[in-house]
Amino acid sequence: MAKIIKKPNILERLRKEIDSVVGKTRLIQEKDLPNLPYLQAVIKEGLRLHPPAPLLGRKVTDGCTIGGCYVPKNTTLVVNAYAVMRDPDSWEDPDEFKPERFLASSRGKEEEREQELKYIPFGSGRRGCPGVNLGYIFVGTAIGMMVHCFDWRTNGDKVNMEETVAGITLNMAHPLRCTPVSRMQLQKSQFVSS
Amino acid sequence: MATIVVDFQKIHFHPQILLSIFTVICIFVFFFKKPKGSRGCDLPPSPPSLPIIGHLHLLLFDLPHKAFQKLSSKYGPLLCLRIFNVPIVLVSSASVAYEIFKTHDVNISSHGHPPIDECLFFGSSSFVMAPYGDYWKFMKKLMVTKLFGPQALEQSRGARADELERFHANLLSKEMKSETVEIAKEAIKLTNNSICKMIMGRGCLEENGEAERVRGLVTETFALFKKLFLTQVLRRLFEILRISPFKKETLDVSRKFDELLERIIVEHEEKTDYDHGMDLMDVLLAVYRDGKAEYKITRDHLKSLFVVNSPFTWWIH
Repeated sequence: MAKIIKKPNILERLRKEIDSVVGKTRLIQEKDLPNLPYLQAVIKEGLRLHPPAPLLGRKVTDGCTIGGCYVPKNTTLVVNAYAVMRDPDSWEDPDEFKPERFLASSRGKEEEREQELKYIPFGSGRRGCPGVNLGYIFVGTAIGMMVHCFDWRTNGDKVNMEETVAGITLNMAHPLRCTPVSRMQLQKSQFVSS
Repeated sequence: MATIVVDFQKIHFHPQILLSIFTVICIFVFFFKKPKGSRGCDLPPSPPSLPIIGHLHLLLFDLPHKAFQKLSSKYGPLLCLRIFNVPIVLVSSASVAYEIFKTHDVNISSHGHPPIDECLFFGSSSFVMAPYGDYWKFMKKLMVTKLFGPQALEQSRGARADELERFHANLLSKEMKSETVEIAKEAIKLTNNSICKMIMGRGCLEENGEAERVRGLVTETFALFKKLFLTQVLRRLFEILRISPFKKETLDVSRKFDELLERIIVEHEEKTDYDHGMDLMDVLLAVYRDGKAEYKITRDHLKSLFVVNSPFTWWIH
């Protein structure tokens, strides 16, 4: 969310997409999500740069060869999802917030498959998070609704993206422009970010 | 051959040379010592380490994922690190991650020993820590069909829509009062309430302080994660030293969860009307009572699953 607020052009494009699919008379619903590719791309990009669980810990049950090196059994394996998803060999401009990279039209099938493998915010394999779908639904509807119905202003231009172990905590905003009905009614308000 | 023998004997009597050979051997032993268990095969490369503590000093001054990232950008995508006597293999590139998740998926589908056995959320009955085996497979199947699968999500859609509307109304009222909104906190409330509805058929009650208590517990649990991660990684070392540093506080939180969940379970057991369909707790209780179930789950299994679901809501934000 913070990333969206920082980039007005992304917010604008997102809002346009939601407006055209959902209209201005009702709230966003789960069934709208498949028709909102840009919203999905924004969420994916957000999770790529700020995965909620950046380290995945596993145990090697039997000794095996990984990347040409031998890993003995019972070794603790730590996959740094944060680094994988900012790996400059796999991602163009890895530290930039660019939702476009997740839009299907900009790439072929081959690339799409490849992308699935380097994008692991919910882990991967058998032990990957079983709630992935639900996760996307929650984030999708919540962010969709907040963008669709409200305008968010920050106090000054700085939104602090510093991370704490408890996740990204952000203090946000006064809704400024509100609900599809009152969308013409602009009010000035303050926004606090810590 | 003879000359070599003679030479050796000559060298033997020069103390300086002897000393320098000794020094070189020492340096090799200290700085290029391979961790145990290498069995002569090539382990992943390892950055320079200190005696005894290994690479611990490299990880202390930053958030773990950032410290690891620094190491991997300097030394490579696949590294072998050592913290005291515990070897850790660190994977940081997409290609290696791909290799392990595709080629070695089953082999790495366990999380190792739970840090503290008796603890409800990361103990031996926990779904998250369970080794890849019958219990885990059974629970995963149950979770997918009853909670996360497309059909289950379809059924619970109404409950989530209600919560989203409440969230919207809440934001509107904040706007009226010109209050600031802490987005992350509100979003967590939204997911928490929705998940509560999905798994136990009702939201947490705000009136009697239950919701606040649960949020407090979740915060406490979250604060424990880092310590528990450390406990798990260094379990072997702690065992040798016969200490368990975070055990008391972990069990404290675990007990509070236990009391809360026992109440909710009893509430469900006394319930007789199923007009609103079965929530996840009803389903699990049915499995718990069913003597012929594929896998016999215990009351602790049941509770641990719910504990895991609550911190999970934090993770997705």
